[in-house]
Amino acid sequence: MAGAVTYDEISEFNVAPSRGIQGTLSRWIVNRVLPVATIFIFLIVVWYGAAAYFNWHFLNVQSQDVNPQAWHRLSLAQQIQRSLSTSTPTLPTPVQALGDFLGRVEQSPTSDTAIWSDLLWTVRAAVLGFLLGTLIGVILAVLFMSSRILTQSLMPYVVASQTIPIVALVPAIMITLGLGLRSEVLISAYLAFFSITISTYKGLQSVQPIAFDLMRSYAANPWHVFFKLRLPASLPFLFTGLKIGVTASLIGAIIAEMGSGSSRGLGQVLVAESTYSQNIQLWSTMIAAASLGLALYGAVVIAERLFVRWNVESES
Amino acid sequence: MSAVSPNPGASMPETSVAKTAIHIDNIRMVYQTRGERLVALTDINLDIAEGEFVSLIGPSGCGKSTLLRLIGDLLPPSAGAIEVHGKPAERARRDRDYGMVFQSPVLYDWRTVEKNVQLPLEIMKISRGERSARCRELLALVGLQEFAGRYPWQLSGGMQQRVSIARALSFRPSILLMDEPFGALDEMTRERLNMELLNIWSQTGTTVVFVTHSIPEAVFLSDRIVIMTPRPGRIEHVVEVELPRPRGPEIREDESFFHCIADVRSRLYES
Repeated sequence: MAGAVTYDEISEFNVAPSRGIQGTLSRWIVNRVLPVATIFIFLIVVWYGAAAYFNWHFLNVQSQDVNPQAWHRLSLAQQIQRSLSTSTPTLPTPVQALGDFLGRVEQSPTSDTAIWSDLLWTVRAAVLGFLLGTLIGVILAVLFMSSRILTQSLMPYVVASQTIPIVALVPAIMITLGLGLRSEVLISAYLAFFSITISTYKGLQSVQPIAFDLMRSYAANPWHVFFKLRLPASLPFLFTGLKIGVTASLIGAIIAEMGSGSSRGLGQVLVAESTYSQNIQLWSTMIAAASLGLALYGAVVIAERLFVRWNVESES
Repeated sequence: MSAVSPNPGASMPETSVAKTAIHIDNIRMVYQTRGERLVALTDINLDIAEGEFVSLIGPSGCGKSTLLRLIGDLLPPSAGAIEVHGKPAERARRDRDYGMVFQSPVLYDWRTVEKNVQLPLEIMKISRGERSARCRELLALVGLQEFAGRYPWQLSGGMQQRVSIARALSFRPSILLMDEPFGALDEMTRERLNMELLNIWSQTGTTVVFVTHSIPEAVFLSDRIVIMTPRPGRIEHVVEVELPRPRGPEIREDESFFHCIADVRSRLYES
């Protein structure tokens, strides 16, 4: 966005008189806090609306069998109030799901219902899968970069691998490799590597021809061309792939756990909760998975800020 | 093919004194694309003396950039030979005789100004201390000492091009090959950088081959101007610029400057 900003413009910006702390604060609230808060409130309202609608329908149907008079004696407001507070909701409210989630987080890690041991199990599988996926992804990208023939002969399989429905692949891998961490990591890596391969490959190809001419004029060897030119040029692309890959690796780990029949991991917890229609717990586990995804994504963003400083700065 | 067969080497002023830096012997360049043959250059003969400033000028498609790339061994010629300090061009490139400056600065975004200037020195395995000493010296030469720690995107176009000149000079090449280095800059910046380039040239004694579209720029800078014509690209005239040196901005107001421009222009259009 700011790619064309010259130094002169920046220094002018710097010497511009500041509008004082009050001005800065009100600008911060208007520019940052307001949009974030608006979206948040909007989502919560939509969620409550949906919860009221679905739970009301459920209670309405249920009351036909139980006690229709008692239900119809209630005003609409009371019916809605009941819909939002039922302990067996079709769709729990944000407060129900979040309350359950916080309750499980607070419990001691040794407790049966605590989420920590499952969370850690899934994190381990996802992180190992992500690292393996990154390794495979980068190696494939470098191979594709170095040989056209290799690209033409390998790329179809790489693309085809991503078109196989993962739910079909999980049992196949489980049968071959057995249940356990090894299979989970492999499935997680399988989902993660593709975006990393494609984006890194694109990044390695992103160097303009004239930059190679420059290297040629220095009589640079291929080693220099790769490490001083191609690899650094590909980093912003690589990180785009890593951001997609890290979320995919988490999904891969959870799906693997769901199909593995093992007794640990968020995936297994989700299966159990959906089997027993524990809807509040189901949603609270989904909150746990989403929080984990955000944390992993955040870790990649922090790494990006460390390694791709020039780009991050020019974008901000 | 041209009836006129200029022999620029013979018309060089100090042939007896100055040694030949670049000897171009009967170069021909043909591009072959999907069965189509494009003769980019033919019958190119030119001698450039050590320390000389020579400009290549001509309309688009006359092959002036191609000729520069042939000298720098970024392309192999279809026929003929180029010798640099008595060696084949390829050998000269491997010996790091060429500093190249292109129309775009081609700075590496992920490197600060300082690290960009040091890039060739890193590749040439020059020690860290020597690298930063030379970098400081060169940034002073192009007037960018205070910008050593900046990233390229924080610099204006003119500043970026000065960094690219500093980078090209960092390993002290004997020949500077410049392909329309100021073509993308505004007129005022261009004139200022012309002046800076002349100062650098007189301080370093580098041989310069300079491709340009601008007649005033060629006249202001050069000892000789090589006028080229297209289809097929060849050398039509070689004009000596008789203006005294050192040249300052005031020479742009001088009658002899306008005369020279008119001379080059008429030769460009007659061809």
